[in-house]
Amino acid sequence: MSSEPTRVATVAACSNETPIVVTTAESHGLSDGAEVKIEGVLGQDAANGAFFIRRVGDRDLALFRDQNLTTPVQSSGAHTGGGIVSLPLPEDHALVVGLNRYPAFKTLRGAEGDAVRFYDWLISPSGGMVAIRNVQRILSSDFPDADPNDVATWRPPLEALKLEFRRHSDRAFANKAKTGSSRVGRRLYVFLAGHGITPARAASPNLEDAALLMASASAQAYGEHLLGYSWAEWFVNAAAFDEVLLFMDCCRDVKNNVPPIPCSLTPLLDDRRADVKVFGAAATELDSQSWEQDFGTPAQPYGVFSYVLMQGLQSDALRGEAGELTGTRLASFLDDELPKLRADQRPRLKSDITRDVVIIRRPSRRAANVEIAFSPAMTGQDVHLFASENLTTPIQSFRVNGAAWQLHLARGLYKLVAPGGRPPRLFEVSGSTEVVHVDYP
Amino acid sequence: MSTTHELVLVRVEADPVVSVCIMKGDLTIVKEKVGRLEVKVPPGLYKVRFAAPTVVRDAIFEVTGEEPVITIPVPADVVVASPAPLTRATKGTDHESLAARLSVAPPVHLGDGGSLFVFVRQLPETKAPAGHPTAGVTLRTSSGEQLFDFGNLPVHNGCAGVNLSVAPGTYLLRVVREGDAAPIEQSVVVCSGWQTQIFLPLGPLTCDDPDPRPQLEHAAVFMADEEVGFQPAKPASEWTEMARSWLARGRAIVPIDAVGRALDDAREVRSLNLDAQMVRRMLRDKLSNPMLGIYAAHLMIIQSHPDEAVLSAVSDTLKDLIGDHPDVLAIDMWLSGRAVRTPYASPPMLRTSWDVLVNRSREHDQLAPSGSYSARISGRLWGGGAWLIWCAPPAAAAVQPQGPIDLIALAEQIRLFLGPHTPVEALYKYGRDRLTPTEVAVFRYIANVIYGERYVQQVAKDLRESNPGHAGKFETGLADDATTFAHKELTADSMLQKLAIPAAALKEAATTLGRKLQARV
Repeated sequence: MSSEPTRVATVAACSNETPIVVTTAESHGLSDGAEVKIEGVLGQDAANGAFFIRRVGDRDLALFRDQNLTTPVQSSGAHTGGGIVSLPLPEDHALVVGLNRYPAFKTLRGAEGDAVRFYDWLISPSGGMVAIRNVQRILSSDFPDADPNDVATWRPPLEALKLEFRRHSDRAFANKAKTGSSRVGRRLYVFLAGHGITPARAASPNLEDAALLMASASAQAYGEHLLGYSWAEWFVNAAAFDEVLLFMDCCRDVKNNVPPIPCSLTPLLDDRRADVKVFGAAATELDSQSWEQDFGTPAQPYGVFSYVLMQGLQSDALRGEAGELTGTRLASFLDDELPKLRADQRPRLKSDITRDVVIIRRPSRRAANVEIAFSPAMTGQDVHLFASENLTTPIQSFRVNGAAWQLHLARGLYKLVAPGGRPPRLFEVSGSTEVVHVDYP
Repeated sequence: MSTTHELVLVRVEADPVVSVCIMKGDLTIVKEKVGRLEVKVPPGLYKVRFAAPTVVRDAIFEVTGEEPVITIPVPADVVVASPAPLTRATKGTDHESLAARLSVAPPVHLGDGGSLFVFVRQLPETKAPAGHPTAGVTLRTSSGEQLFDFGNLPVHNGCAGVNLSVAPGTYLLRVVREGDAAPIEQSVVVCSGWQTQIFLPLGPLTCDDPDPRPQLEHAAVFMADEEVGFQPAKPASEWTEMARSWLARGRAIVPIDAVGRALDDAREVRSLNLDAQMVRRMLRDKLSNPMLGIYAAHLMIIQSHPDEAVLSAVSDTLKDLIGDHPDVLAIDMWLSGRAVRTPYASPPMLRTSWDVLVNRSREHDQLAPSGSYSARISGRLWGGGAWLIWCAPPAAAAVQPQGPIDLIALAEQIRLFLGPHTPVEALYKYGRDRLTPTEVAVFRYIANVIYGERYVQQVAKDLRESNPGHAGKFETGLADDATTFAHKELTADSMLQKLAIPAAALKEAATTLGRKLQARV
């Protein structure tokens, strides 16, 4: 199955009403309740995103937020052009978990926001293109307030997540019985954010063992944890998906004498398991913390790992000429960028360049990601920009005119040179979505 | 007239335990190494990253081709954060001079032959404890009898330390915890003629015990000539701390250059054909901190494919230097083909040593014999970091006679207890408090295996019922697979590896658990 989304039609017009009605240039062929991804609409910004539709006509679709078609998408302005309607990738699935509230531990600030941002990226037309109905999202705030004295109200417990995995494992078993193949879909994303530990019986725990503590956990019940890699490994061994992507933003303090609770399913081994591609990223190394920090304006709390992860997933500069964000490229970015924000936090990454996952394939928008400011004394001078591979021929030049030089550069190292004996200025474009500001001299 | 070099030698002289990585213009890695790095590269732009356990520094540089060799300076702040007051990382306190002075102060006499220096330190970023910083810290014999109480030491600027003269051997350092929680302990080994130096930071032990106490899991441990004491400015002290920090993080950053130099020195000394005492004396002069060698060897053990010849040479050199240290003997045990010599009556210092011990106990169950302190801490491990730490065990019970373990029979007993319950529910139904921690571990392990098997049997049954006309080969196979898997898991070898309990302790727990369950029935 292709990783390319199916294009339905181009957008001819969008109404300036609620719900927004999109008119397509060609017949769309969709029926009520279908999910679409729309991007590239100018003017009517609210029409960009993931929606459910009510069929208004062969070429007209009304947009709704929910599958029951009860929450219409409100207009944000007049359509000035552009837009493409596509279908989500039907074989991609995801489990996204963000837990802020722990009755027995300190309340976190960023885990739920991180899960929501990852979810938004997953379903976005410029992101994962996953169908909304294929994403199970669990936030601790989805549950009623817990009674600190009644552990039964500390939700979600471990069983809740096991049941989410069972949606897929039961299908794998059933498919195997019916067709001989345990394949469930093309890709499984698992994103887990919250408090975490490395449960350890063995003196030297498995380096991959990162466990999300469930809301029902406490210092006396660390067993209420989900070992991400162990569950992901089950789906790899079963070849239930062609690709398994695991992201874990949680601490990895070693807790000795806490038996790791591995995936409790009997292995379903499939001959195709060696072909399954895997990408894994734990927020931090063994026995160290995963930190939260405020970023952005206005400041919002993030897990530092999740912040960098989202920068990488959304980055144009990281996608390269072919528009592909690969697992190894994302791993290199996480490994390089995360320690810049927290020197004591380094991600633990699992990525195989010989069987690299293409996480997304989209043309780069090539928006400016570098802004170079010059001193007024340089006005009128020609400045030359060199890329590392050729330091004799500039890739671009600019006559300083009092304004900043804005340009789009791929991830890498660069050198600015001006005449008049000024020392050159070396700088790095890391590939994050933030604009690189360079002052010269 | 200038010459343009097609390839230029880039040289980085980092400390031997600092990870150095050179990246080219597209930020892909050209070369990564620990310590001194040299690489030939064509002209272009490059980035160098210096990584110590808690510090990362980047620098971009240009290779023009005008010079044949360029040397990249190491930033001065690539240092290690440590509970030991090392000169480069300690600013604005007198902790380093205090520790150096106390380490060579006239010792409190508890024995002869070696010394132990313990220094507890309040770091600038931590709050002061409510009481005495070393209240509740004691030194004990390897069987648990108290030798020294650190609770009355004079306190200077948030720190307290003492130099003890002791006989060579293994001791226990114990720290009490809040309320009725069992104290935590770790082994401390003192070698003949050496001073073992322990630096403990003050900090909360757990989230629910916030009052700062000496944190065993973050202890910095050095060994030095007992007449020289602690040398805060010595680079080797800093390297040793970096090595411990990497080991605590499970990162196999091996100071391979330092290891190579030490082995060269050792070879040179041995080539002089002197007697063993003289060899040891000369090695002491050259290799002044054996803990760096111990950490380096254990970092090699956690590598995927360490060089066994180098590891073997390190082990031999350490034995010449400090004798039969349990964490050195663990290196020997790890090496294939080396005889296992010593029963571990007391646990080793490092967690990696414990791992080796547990694995080798499969063939040598007397490595941690029943009733020994090593066997009694099984199931009671605590905390994280590089050290093996445990909750102090209760007084020794009589060693139970053991027969061969019949795990299948034990599993049948547990299956009866499980009924429709989950393993945790069943454990509480039985009465968790009636079982020792090792018995609880065995119970939970077996119950989890049975529970998983039962789940898959149910899936197979559901599939059969939902496809009544189907031949059902897969469903039958699935049920058979579940049973085969369970039988594979229910072996002593599998349990030993997954529970990290030495063979003798595992046998004892399985035997006593079986008897308790039998009595309950």
